[in-house]
Amino acid sequence: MEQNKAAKEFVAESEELIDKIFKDINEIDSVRKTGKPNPDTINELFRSAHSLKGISSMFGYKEITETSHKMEDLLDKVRLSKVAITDQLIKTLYAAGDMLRTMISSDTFGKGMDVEPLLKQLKDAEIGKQAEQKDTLFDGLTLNKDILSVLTEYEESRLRENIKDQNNLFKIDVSFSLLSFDKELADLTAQMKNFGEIITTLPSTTEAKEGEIKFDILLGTKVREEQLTAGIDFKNIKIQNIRKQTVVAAEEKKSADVNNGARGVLDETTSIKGIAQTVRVDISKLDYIMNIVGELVLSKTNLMKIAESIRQEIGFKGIAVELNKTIKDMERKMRDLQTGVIEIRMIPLSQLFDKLTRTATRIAKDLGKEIELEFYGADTELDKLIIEELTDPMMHIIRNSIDHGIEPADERIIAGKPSKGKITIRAYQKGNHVLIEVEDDGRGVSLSSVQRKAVEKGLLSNTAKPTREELFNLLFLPGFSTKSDVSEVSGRGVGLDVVKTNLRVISGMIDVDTQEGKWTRFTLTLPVTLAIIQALLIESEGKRYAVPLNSINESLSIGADEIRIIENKEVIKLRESVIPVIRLPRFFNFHTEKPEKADNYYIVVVGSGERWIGILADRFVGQQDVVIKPLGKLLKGTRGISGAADIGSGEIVLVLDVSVFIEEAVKV
Amino acid sequence: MSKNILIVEDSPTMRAFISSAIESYGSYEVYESATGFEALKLLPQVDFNMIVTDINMPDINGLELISFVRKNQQYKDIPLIIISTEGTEMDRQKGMALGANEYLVKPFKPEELQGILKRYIG
Repeated sequence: MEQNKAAKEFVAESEELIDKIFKDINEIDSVRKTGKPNPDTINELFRSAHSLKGISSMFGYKEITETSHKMEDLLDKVRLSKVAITDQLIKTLYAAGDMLRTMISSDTFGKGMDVEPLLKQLKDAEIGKQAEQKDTLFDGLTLNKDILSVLTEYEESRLRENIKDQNNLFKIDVSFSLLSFDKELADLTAQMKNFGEIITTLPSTTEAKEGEIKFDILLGTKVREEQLTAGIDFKNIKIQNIRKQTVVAAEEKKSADVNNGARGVLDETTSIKGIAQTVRVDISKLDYIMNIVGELVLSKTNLMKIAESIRQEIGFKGIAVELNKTIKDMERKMRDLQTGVIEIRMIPLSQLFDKLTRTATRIAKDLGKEIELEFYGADTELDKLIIEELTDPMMHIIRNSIDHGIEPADERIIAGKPSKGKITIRAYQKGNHVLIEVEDDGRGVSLSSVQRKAVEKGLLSNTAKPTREELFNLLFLPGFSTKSDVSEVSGRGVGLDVVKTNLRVISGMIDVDTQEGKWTRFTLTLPVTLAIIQALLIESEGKRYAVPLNSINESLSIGADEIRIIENKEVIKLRESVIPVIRLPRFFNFHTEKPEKADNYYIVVVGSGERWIGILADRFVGQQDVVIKPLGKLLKGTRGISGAADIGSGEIVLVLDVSVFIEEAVKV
Repeated sequence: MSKNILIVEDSPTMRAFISSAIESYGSYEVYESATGFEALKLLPQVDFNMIVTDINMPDINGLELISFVRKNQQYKDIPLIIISTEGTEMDRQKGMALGANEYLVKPFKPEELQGILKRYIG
């Protein structure tokens, strides 16, 4: 009989299984130090041993079969929570993995190897917790008998563990088209896994519409029904709590009452205290508080002005001193309040990273590329709103890296790179900003082809000698793409310009650097929060503007004669370099009265890297906290303005979007 | 008309083993699914004369597939064979209770599977 095909598969599959066995043991071992290992990982490990046993037995490889069989038996007890995960257990599992690897890699498939000591070791490790008595745990569930009848022994045990852990159990009904259910279901289950453990997924067509398939998903989770409903973004799902909690609670109370009348009540309150460690709050409520904090800041500013006039009227004595002290005290507490509220809005980037991993894996699969993602600084925190706005741009950048950056495996091997592409994402805080770097080890961007393309499109003249910076900036222009073929994934003419526009909404900036053939790195610079910022108020030709303090590099006073004109642009000399100067009324096309010629000006220097620009002001008004409010429809999208702010006594100023001016710096 | 057989099994080795056992026995059209989901997608597209399924699989388990097939008017009469392993007696019993016709325990010989083929679909 023709079994060659199966024999070939055997070697490849068993090697894969052993790799997976090691990966899972490693993961369980590293997780168990800090918490409970994921039951899915333990089950995966069991399944690998199980599969290996199955296939090796078909070929009569006795030693491999016996070793994997004993390993499977042991892991079966671990996944059914009958054997605890101890140092000894992990050691034994590693030993078994090593033995299996040796047996499979040797030509003789381990024939004649002495596996007895290891088999004994595996057997010994099985002695652990005693098997449990039949229990009545399932009695408290409103679960259709049909579902219980299709649970495997393992799934039953997971259900039991979830009940013991006092988790909520939900049955989620959902219907999909028969043609596309797998993708949609994978999406939904990925979302649900954020909340807990999926115990089983049961398909049925009996109650489904023609051409549709219905699934009953059993989910064990710590969260409550309303949190689950709010947290899962999916249409047409029905969530049902299958745990008769009230009944269970009543029974518990009854038995407690028998023992001790008062204790039942006491236990109940302590358990509630235990749960109430975290509270989920609607973000709009936080916005509301933030607004009030903002108004308070304004009241404080007004109060300071009153104090100032009192001081001028009566001098700095008596009541004026008292008032000054009180305001100073209030100012400190207000700052604490602000930081406190801002902190509540902060969430770690890990939530975004999880999402990115899922999408990246899917995209890579679609494109037939192999990639790995590495994250650093997942605990870096940002305002929730910023993280939300960050999702699309980050997805786009990663999509770009996978599609255009990472080469196909064969090309990579020729270039002497590992066949698997790598995307490294680093996040870290730098002052008032969070920087996120996305770096791929792909083919990089060819600057000469960027230049060629730019000349073709008429963006550069034939004779131009652009700098690296200038070439990189071209990449962010609408419709600019160096790849001639439009691919399914990141093509369709939507390019980095959209990323840039999206980032501007959250006052973010993006830069790129690359080495041809080696790597490409995008760097995103983001403010930690948008809610309240410290600003420098400046005045130019009679109008006031707020410049976010965290974007100011330095400020200086210059003589009027220090402003020179080069190629029709106003510039100043700043130490070793020459930087352009911008006049705000001219930039915004405001019609202001012609100012008197002044002898002195003030300059706010903003920028980074190679790009710097000076914003010209007639005078600095002062420094103040401002709450940025969005602009109305009419002014929305005005270049250079990110919002408006009330600076007290009803005066409104425009808040400058400094990133726009920095771009101007390059155009000069 | 040739007979169509569906194999649902996540191990490529087992799939290759089973399909070669079937193909060397007679002229059958063998369809292979690596997951329960693939099987659910194939079911409405092909008239199957037999389904051979594993129980421990990553997305939906074999028991759920059996229950799905048996409850569905269109598929309820298709002969169902469980491929199982030692140590999973409880799951196997559940599968038989759900309406599977036969089971095979790994390791089994090609002849055992061929015997079942002969009895159920000739």
